[in-house]
Amino acid sequence: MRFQESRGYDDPLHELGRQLCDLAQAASLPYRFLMIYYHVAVLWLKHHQLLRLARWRFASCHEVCESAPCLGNLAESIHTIRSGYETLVASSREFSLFLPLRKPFEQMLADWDEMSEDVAISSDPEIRSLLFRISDAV
Amino acid sequence: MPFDILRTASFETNMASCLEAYSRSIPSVEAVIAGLLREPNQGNVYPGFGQVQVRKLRVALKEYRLSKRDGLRLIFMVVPKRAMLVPLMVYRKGQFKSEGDVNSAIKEQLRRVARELGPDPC
Repeated sequence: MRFQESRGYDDPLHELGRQLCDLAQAASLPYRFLMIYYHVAVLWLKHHQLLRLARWRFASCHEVCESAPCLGNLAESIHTIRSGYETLVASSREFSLFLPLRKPFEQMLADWDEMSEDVAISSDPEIRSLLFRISDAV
Repeated sequence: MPFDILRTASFETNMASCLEAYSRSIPSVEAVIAGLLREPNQGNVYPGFGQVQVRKLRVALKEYRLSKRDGLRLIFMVVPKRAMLVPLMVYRKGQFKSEGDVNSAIKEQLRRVARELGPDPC
């Protein structure tokens, strides 16, 4: 469980969240658009890989330990990533220089939104108990 | 092993109301559900339910040019021991304003399904 107790910059999800926050800050300075374009290309390449990693960690947390702090860390990383993308989507609407980036940002945001929704649904104790009740009744 | 499907009245009501504005897609959604009987291991798993699998499948509404990303979400349960598939809920992406609203709607729907399948143990 490599990332079970991971903290700080060893964790690629945490790193992505940090990068997005930096990028979101830079996005408020439109003259930095070249830097944004470069980073978005890198983000796009890493996107699916990190999403898979997040899903793997999510599954592992539940199957192996159901550790609340571990799930909490994952949820926090996903929340940071989502906030970063939300800011970038907003910036891409605001500045015409970023307009071509709007669609990729929105797509990446939608995928992390989905992930976040899954973590929230799956971790909700009431939903879990209802699902167990249904499976017992079937 | 061929799977059977258990479609509750609560699910039928939920699906009818969700697809009210997308009636042309009903046959394709039904085809997706039928396809699950052959291949129940589709979609993302909600982990931590042991032998029982709870999954979420994204369904495109091609008739309305909605991709999987923007289309329907189908939550279903697979009970391998009984070879049974139970569709629980469908909702559209963006149907609810926030994540909290999605959670509340899912809870409400699961309560209906649970009530229909058996009495409350409490």
